Amino acid sequence: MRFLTLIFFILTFHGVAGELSIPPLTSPVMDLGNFLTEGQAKDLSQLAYEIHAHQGPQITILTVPDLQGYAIEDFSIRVTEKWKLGSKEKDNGLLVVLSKAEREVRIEVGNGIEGEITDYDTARFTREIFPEYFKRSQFHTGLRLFLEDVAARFNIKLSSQATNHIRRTPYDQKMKIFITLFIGVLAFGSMIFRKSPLLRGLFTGIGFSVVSFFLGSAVVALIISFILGLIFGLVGMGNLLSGIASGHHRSRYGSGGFSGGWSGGGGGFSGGGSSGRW
Amino acid sequence: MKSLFILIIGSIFLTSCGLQSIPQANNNVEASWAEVENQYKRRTDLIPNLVNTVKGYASHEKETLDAVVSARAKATAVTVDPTKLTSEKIKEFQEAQSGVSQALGRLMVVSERYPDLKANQNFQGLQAQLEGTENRIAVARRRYIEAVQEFNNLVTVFPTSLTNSLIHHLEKKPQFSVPAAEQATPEVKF
Repeated sequence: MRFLTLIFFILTFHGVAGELSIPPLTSPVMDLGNFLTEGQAKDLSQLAYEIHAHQGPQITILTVPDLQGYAIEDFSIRVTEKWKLGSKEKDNGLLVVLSKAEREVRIEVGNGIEGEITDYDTARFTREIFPEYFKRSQFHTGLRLFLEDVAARFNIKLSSQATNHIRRTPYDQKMKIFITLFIGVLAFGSMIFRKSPLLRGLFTGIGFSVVSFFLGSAVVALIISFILGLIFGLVGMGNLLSGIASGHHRSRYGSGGFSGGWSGGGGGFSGGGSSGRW
Repeated sequence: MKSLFILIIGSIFLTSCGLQSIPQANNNVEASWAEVENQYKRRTDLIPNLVNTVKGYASHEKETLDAVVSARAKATAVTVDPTKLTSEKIKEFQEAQSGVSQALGRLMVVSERYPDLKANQNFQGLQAQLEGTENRIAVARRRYIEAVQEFNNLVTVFPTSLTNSLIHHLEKKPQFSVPAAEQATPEVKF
C-alpha cells in the first residue's frame, strides 16, 4: 500500500519548484514592499474600488521587495497569470508592479483594454511620470496620478471626497477608536440593563464620558458625550442598529465603504504595457 | 457497492486517460501558435510607419532602412498553418522573423544618433509600441513552449500515451529552437 501511495505521489507531482511565490490576491493594493503608509494604501484601494465599481478596469498595485531573480516583464506577466485580474469577458485587468531592490516599475495591461490604454500611454507613466515622483519617494502621488488618468480614460468621475483623504487619516484613526469604544459601552449597557431604558441611558451616558475623558476630550465634549450616551442608551442598541441600517443604503460609495472582496475574474493578459526604472 | 466501485474507477480512468485532455492540449497548442504569429504580425505591421518616420529625419540611413523593409517582406511571406506545425516550418518562420529583429535592432541603434528623431512624438509612440510588441512576442512564445510541453507530455508519457496510440494518433509538436543568429544578444537600445 505504501508503495502505491508513493507511485501516486510521483505520478501526480508536477514541477512545483521554480514557481513564483506571490500571495493570493486580497486587495487592490498589495504593498508587500512597504512603499506606502496605511492611509496611502487605503486611499489607492478606495480609488481602485471606485473605478472598478463604475465598470472601469480592475486595477491592482503590487509592490515587492525584489523580483526573485526574474526580469520585471516576466515577473509581472506571471503575476497576471496567477491573479487573472479583470473579467473573463472583458479582459480588463490592469497591474502595476513596483520593485524596491531593482527600482523598477511596470504597468501590465489586460487584453481587452489595450486600445484604451496603449503602450505609449503606459510608457509615459513608466518612463517619465513615475520616475519623476518615485525618485523623491512620492510613490503615492505617482500612483494616484496613474489611477486618475485611467479613470479619465474610461470617463469615470471620481468622488471629490477621495482627494483629501490622506490628510484626514490621523483624525480618522482616533475617530475609529472613539466609535469602537462607544459601541462597546452601548452594547454592554444594552446587555446588562435590557429591561430598563433609564438605567441603560445613565450607564451609557457615564460610559461615554469616561471614554471621552480617557481620550483627552474637553469638558464640553464630556457633557455632550454624557447626553449622547443617555439618548443612545434610552433608545437602545437594537433600535439604533435598525435605524442605521435603513439609512446606510443611501451611500453606496461612501468613504471607506469597501464592498466585497477583491479577486480576479479570469481576465487575460498578453504582455501589453511598458516598464521603466527610477 | 461493486457498481459504485466500477463507477469510481471508470471515472478516474476516463478523466485521466487523455481521451479529453489530449485534444484539449492539441487545441491549446494551435491557439498558442496562432497567438505567436499574431504578435509577430503586429510587429511587421508597425514597420511601414516606423520606417516612414525615421526616413523623415535620417533619410541618408538608406541601407539600414532598406534592410528593415526587405526583412519585413521576407517575413510576411512565411506563415505557418497552426494545424500543420512541423519543426522545419517553425525554423523557417523563426529565421525570417529573426531577420526582422536584427534589422529593427540596427535601425533603433542608428536612430539614437538623431536627437530630433528621438524627440519626435510619433517616433516615441512607435518606439513604445515596438517595445511592447517585442514583449508580447516573448509572452506568446513562452506560452507556446509551455503548451507544447504539456501536449508532448500527454502523448509520450504513460498512461495518456496509451490512449494516444490507440485513439488519437497524434504526433509530438515541434518546439522553438533558438537560431544561431538570435543567440548573440542583439544590441537594441530604447
